[in-house]
Formats: sequence, structure tokens, C-alpha cells
Amino acid sequence: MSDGTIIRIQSDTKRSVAPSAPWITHGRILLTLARMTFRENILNRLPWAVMTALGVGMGLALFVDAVSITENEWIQGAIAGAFYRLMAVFLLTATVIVGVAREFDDRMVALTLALPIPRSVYFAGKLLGFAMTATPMAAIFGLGLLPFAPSDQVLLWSLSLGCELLLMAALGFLLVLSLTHITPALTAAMATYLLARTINTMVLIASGPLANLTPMPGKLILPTLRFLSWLVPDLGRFTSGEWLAYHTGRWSDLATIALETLVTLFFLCGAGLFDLYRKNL
Amino acid sequence: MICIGKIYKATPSPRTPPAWVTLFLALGLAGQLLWGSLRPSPSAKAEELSPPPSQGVLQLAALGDHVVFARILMLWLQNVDNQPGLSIPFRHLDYDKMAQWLEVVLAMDPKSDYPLFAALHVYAGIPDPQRTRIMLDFIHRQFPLHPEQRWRWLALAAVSARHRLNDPQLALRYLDELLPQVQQGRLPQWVLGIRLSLLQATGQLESARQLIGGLLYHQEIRSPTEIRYLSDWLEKLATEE
Repeated sequence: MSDGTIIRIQSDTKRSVAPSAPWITHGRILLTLARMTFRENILNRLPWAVMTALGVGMGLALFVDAVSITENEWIQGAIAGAFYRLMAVFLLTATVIVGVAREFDDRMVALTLALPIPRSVYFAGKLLGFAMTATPMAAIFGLGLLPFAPSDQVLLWSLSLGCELLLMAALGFLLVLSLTHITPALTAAMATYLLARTINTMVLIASGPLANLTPMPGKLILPTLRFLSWLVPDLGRFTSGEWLAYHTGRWSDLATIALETLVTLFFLCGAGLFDLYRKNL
Repeated sequence: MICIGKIYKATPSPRTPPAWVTLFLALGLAGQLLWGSLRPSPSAKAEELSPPPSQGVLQLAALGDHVVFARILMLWLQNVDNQPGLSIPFRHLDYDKMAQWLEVVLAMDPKSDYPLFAALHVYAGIPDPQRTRIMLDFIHRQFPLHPEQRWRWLALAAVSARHRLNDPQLALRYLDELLPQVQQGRLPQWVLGIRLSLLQATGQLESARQLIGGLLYHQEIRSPTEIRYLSDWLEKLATEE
């Protein structure tokens, strides 16, 4: 966050001298924070990284087209989609974590929160900025898939990716607030992402016949894994490559995903706010 | 995250968050746990064994270390019947594809006996003659590629054909193919014994007599006990005729 942001927020707070309700002032500050966060993300070469990933994905799809002998479009769509999904998640999470860590290092967070702004407004403004960054990313990666899958399936995929990115942005924000350092925060975010995508398979393996050969899994590991599966979103159902390969995506799937996103986002916001309010800056 | 103050001692002690934030977090956690517990449980779906890719693709995937890759592949193949959440009976496995996979693994690591062992002792051991035949046929196909190394598996396949399939003709055919390809003297006596009993079982008494006569004439058998045993056999065959 730059000095310009502080100046803008100061001007927003000064305007509150005029007889306007506090929520209007806070709303204005929130939007300023969101806009500046979005601008910062755009200016830090994230678009270049996105376009490079898009190009590499296209190259990958062309390569797959050259080596496969049948079902080319299906394979291209599935592989390019999986690549875009991973790249989008990694790029956004890294951007969020690096950006916020830098703000902490530059004491910009302390400076911002020294102004008469509730911490919740700062939190919401940053999160809105990240959501504004995630939306075009999901759309651009979706556009890259249009040659390989029907538009309705690509739209579904993009909206689902948007939800996934929103959750990862909130998770990255929470982790960098808590851990304050880039490496542990990024590692924890990627580990949580992997866990969220594989937890159901782990539960199945732990409840399978092989696991019953030893008494430990049934008694301890399975309940632990089940509890973990409740704590993390089921990202295995998000942004499925099957939609691109077999066109099986339905709008009802998106409704479940949206609801799951809301529930998990609420939880992540609660945890993030708790950590932010506990910070003694 | 909560213990951050303890991890980084330079950080000032944390403040107490407002009550509404704590309530927000509690509600969020409760909502997440409730949603997670209401989510439909993951259901196991049996995945069919797909046909193996070409050798070239597998060599590429092995990244140059095909022996290690073959071992990993074999362990994976062995656990195809134990997929996450379910156990698939052998009678539901596609044995033709299984044999193709075993062939691929053996081609990647020809020195290994693992695929032959699995074919004979794991997959051929089910009460389904058709599937047992597929596995014995796999061993039979692999034998001529390395006869000196794999004769034991074909001999055991012959025993399996005799006792599991009750098909002495097939067992004899396996042994007939085995004998000329393996250096004389390398085969243990039990293999000749099996052949002898098979010749008798299939009514080829003359061949059995010739086999014993040949062994005695060429002095391939030196133990007096074995010589007496085979002589008794010869007499027994003579009375049967």
C-alpha cells in the first residue's frame, strides 16, 4: 500500500467532519482500500504473470493436441484447465501474502490503522480488493478455455474458480496476518489447499478395508481426518476438470459451491478479524 | 496463529479482541463445522483397470529408472483391488487387462520374478478356471523370453494346471515345452517326477517308460533310492500295460 492510499483515506476521514453517518464514511474508506489494493495488485506485474501462465497453458494444450490421437479437445480442456487452476491459485495466494507482508514490513498497516478506522473496515477493504483481483483472473483463465469446451461449462468453471480464488485470498490474508512472514504463510496456504483437495480421498482410504488391519486408523486417524474434513472446504468439488472434459457441470453444482464458499469465507473472516484485533501494532 | 506472541518474543503481547469479533469467529467456526458435517460423505467408486500405456510412454514416465518404476507400478497393480474405501473381489477384476499390465511390468524389469509370482500365487489362485487360465497363459507366454530364469514358474504353472484346473493335458504341454529349452541337469528331479505322473495320468505309458528308461540309461540319476524308485515305477507301468 502506498502513501497515496494513506492520503486518500485521510481525505475520506476528513470528509466525515461533514454530517454523514459513520457507516457511509467507513464504506467510503473501505472502497478506497479495496480500490488501492486492486491497483497495487495490477501494478505489481500480476497481469504479466497471468498472461504468461495463459500462454504456457495454451502451449501445453497445443502440445497435448500434437501427441494425443483421439479425444483431443477433451484432453486439452482438462489439462489446460488443471494448469490454469493451479496457476491462478498460486499467483493470487502469493500476491496476497507478499503484498500484505510488505505492508507490515513497511509499517503501512500500523500507519493506516493509526487513522480513525476500525480494523474490520481495513480487513473488509483489503478482502474486497483481493476479490476484485480474483474476478478478472478467473475470467481471463476461463477465456483461455473457450476453444476446448462449451461456453456454459467454461462459465461454470470460471465462476467456480472465482469462488476458489476468493477462499484462497481470504486464507492467504489470514495466514499472513497470523504468521507475518512470507515463507511460512505461503507454505501453510499451499498445504491447506492440498489438504482441502485431498481430504475426502484420505477419509476414504482411512475407512477402507486395508486401514482396518491395524487398530489405530479406526480409533484415532479416521475421526481426526473426518474432523479436518469439516474444517476445510471440499475443494475437490470446485472447478472440476470433468466439466471441461465431459461437460457434466450443472448450475446446481455452482449453488452448492457458492454456499460452501460463503460458509467458509465467514469462518475465515472471523479468524482473520480475531487475529487482526489481537495484534498490538 | 493464536500463539504467535510466544513464537516471536519481540512481538508485543496480544490485545483482547472485541466481544463481537470473538462471537463472529465462534459463529464462523460453528457454521463451518455444521456445514462440513452436513456435507454428503465421500462415496467410494470402483475404478476399472484401464489398459496399460505403451512401453514408450512408461519408459518416459520412469525418467530413466525403469527398475524402480516397475517396482512401484507392481505395488500399485497389486493394490488395484484395494481402492480407497472398498475392496474389489478378484472375480470382478478384468484379468485380460491385469495380464497386460503384468506383461508391461515384466518387460520393464525382466529380472524380476514379482509379476510371475503374483500371477501364479495371487491371481491364479481363485476358483474361476477361466481367470486361472488367463494367468497360466501369461506365465506360459513369458517363459520362452527367458527360459533359464523362468522355467520354475512354468513348472509350477503345470502343477497348477494339473491340480487347480484338473487339466493334465495342459500341464503336460507346459512341461513338454519346458524340457527342451532348459539345459539338462538344471531341472530338479521333482519336475521330471511331475512329468512322469502326468504321462501316467494321460495314459501315455510308453512315453513314461521311455522317460524313466532314458534317465536310467544316461545315468542322470545316481541316487540308489531314486534308481530303485524309478525301477519300481517301470515295473508298475509294465503291469498296467
